[in-house]
Amino acid sequence: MSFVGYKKCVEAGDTVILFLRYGHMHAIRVKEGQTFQTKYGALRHSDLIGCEYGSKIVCPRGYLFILHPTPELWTQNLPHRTQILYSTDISTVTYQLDLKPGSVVVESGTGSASLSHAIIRTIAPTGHLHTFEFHEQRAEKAAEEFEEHGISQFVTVKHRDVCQKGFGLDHVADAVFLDLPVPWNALSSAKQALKKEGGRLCSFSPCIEQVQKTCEILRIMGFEELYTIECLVREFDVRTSSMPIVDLGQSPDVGQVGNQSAAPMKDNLGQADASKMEDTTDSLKKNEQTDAEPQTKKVKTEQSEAMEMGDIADSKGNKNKIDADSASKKPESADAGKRKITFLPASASDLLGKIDNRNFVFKTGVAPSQMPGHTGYLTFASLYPI
Amino acid sequence: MNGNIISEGDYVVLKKEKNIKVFRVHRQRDVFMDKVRFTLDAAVGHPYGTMFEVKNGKLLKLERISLTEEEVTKKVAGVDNRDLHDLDSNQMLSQDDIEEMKKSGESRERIIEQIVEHSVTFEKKTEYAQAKYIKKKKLKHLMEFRIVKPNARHLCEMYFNKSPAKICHLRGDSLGQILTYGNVKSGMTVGLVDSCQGLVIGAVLERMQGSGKVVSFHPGSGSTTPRPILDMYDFPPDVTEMLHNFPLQQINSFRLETRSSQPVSGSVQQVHSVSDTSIPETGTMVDENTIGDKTMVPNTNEHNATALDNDDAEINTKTELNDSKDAEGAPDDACGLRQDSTVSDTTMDDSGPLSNLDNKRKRKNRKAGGKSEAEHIEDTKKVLLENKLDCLIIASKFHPTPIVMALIDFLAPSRPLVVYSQYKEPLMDCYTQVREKGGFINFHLTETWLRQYQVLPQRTHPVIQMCGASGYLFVCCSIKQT
Ligand SMILES: C[S@@+](CC[C@H](N)C(=O)[O-])C[C@H]1O[C@@H](n2cnc3c(N)ncnc32)[C@H](O)[C@@H]1O
Repeated sequence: MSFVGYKKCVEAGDTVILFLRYGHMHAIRVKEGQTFQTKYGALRHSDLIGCEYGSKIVCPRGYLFILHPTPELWTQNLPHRTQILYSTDISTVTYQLDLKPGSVVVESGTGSASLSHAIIRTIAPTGHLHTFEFHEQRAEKAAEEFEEHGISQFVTVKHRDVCQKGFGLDHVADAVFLDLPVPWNALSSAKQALKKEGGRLCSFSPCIEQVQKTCEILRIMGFEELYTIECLVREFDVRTSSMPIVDLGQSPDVGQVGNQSAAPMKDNLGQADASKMEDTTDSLKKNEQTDAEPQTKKVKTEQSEAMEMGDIADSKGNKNKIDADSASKKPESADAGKRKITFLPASASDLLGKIDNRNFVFKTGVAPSQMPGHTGYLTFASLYPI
Repeated sequence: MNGNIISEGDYVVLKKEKNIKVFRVHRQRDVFMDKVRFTLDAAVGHPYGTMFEVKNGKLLKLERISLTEEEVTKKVAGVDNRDLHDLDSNQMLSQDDIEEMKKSGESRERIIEQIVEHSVTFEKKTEYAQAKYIKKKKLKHLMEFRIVKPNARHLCEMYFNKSPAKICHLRGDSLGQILTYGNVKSGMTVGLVDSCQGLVIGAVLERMQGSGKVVSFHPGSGSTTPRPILDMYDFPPDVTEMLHNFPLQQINSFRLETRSSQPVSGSVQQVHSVSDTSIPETGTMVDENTIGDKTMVPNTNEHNATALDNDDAEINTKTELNDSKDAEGAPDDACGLRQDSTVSDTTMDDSGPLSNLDNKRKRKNRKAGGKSEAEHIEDTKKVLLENKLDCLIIASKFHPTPIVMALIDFLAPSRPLVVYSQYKEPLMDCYTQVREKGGFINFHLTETWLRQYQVLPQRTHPVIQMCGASGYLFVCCSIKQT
């Protein structure tokens, strides 16, 4: 119904992603008569029905957006029953296993079905996923979700211990994916499941000892092109930052203060841009004030997102002009360019930013101080026809 | 025709460890790999995935892979004791000796053993160094490779290893992310700008397999630009028919047209069918206006809209390809196609017997040839008017901001915008400008870190060299504008 094809408007039974602001999302299943409590107040499900996906929904104390579900949004919002794979690993797995519409894939364990949703999206409507899970409730819950998400026709969920009983599939699969504590016990059955003309296999393991053993067995079994990688994502917070310029006393070069660069203003950082920078710097400062309030969970990209959703984030009285809506009403950059900016002498500019009031102001992408350092090792291998 | 069998006219990938090349299978046409010349004739009829070797200029199916390094090390350890004096004799085999052995039909195992035995330093090496040495020698002296079907993974790897500049340094994992974050799948309408010679267009088409529409916006004013990599995907016609082209040079005037003729987004019909994703919709509406000419889509450069004849089109391609190579000063053995095309220039055996595929292409081409550039562009406009885009992908050598600004209004609400760039700064600009403009949420600017591991008993460690350049990705989500 929704995970393999886009639709325009919300209907009862749909899974909808509520986007409050960066990092604050919920997945809800729309049922008439129900309400959902958000931090902006109660949301009546019936109010969503008939709304176009992407619409802004006004709540008692703020607003949010309703988004069409995608496997990626689902991965960020699904109920965790196990550890799950995230989108960086998922995209690498999908790509390295050569998945496409029509592919037949075997997966175990199903876990929270984070990866399963992404696989189904890619192989539908002509392919099929066989997913195996030895924990009965997890298997049932996954099957239920596939039903709710309108993708059950593309997947078979089996409750089974694949290490003991195998997959019970003979030469049907283009690819096998294993996320198991002891993957090597499933390898011979995995080989049996792969098509006679060959296929791809991936095993995900958090620990190197598992990888070691898996690779050993893979080689013995005739798998080739073993390729073990780790794939991590680094997210940048795009924002304007500044550094003060030290006072070096009276410059011997007449008329030059601070930064000694005599480079002329570059076109690509013209005045319009500079004024924008000033704007964001202002708002950044305001946000820094709000950020100073004790906040525990907020880490990355929080500041810039607060700018985007300024009305909500700073609802306590900070008048912040930059939000998703009002931004479009901003004057064209030509007008903005005429606004007065107080610079030190005109020559005191730089190629990457601006000198402004004894500060070097620049746009930058700030890497997070905390980021996932390890998810797991992905081992890929090919099986070729004999 | 079984798609799993290597056939004449197919584009095929030759994989010899990190060395990957693409050739088109033609009878009696020389190809080169590692400076060895051979023909692919003997590959025809074998299934994809088959291992071949070249012996005396002849391609043969390889029944069994030659010894793994572990096996050889073990063997040599035994040989060491017996033939110690041989090694002491301090004699090395010359290249000629090795060639002689190869010609005399000596087994592969024996050749490697001989090389090892005649290495003065071999016995002094540690077991691990020995294994490494053997692997190196094997790669050097044995022409063993697999022939596999082209796909996004192989083509991206080939270009990334050999001429990354041609694909904007787009690394495989980043390409994978583009497809995932774009939520690319069967049945959707994708808009994209590809400066990677068709690599990204092909990767998107691969994930749609004939159902849905792809509108490729290209620089310039013509009806399409050369996209040599797209040809190498060797898509069947039902896949390439999904592709529509639109010149970026006309995008502003088109936007103006649509703005004046229609009160913004409201009247643009939305065709987001959910249930019929399996039914290719390509050209349904256009058909009414083109009297059943279903193949109006300008396809790959080989099916160049203006070219009436296949041979002409191919020669055009070559010129373009070589030009771009010269321009970038890249080594021209980028993918083996150069040799292939050089040969085809002189032998011109394209006029010889053609495979089914070729015939199909030729027929298709004739039909397509009947349409003018302007008509193609009009067709694409119809696609754009009928469908809002379900995702917009930009992987461009051009500064992305102006392109993004010109195209984001074509994107339906609640859909991903995915912009790739080799550099971070243009994406930061794009990020900032899109945020200023409004209508988008959930901004992400990312890069990926990819570390490969050598996994061997007692010697597992990260691979010494690592590629630090993934490029950057800017992803956000459109919202409904009020
Ligand atoms: C880490 S979870 C998989 C998460 C999944 N990849 C995702 O993205 O949601 C591993 C799952 O494998 C299941 N499992 C472990 N051993 C199994 C076995 N022998 N047969 C079937 N399932 C097994 C566990 O119950 C668990 O749910």
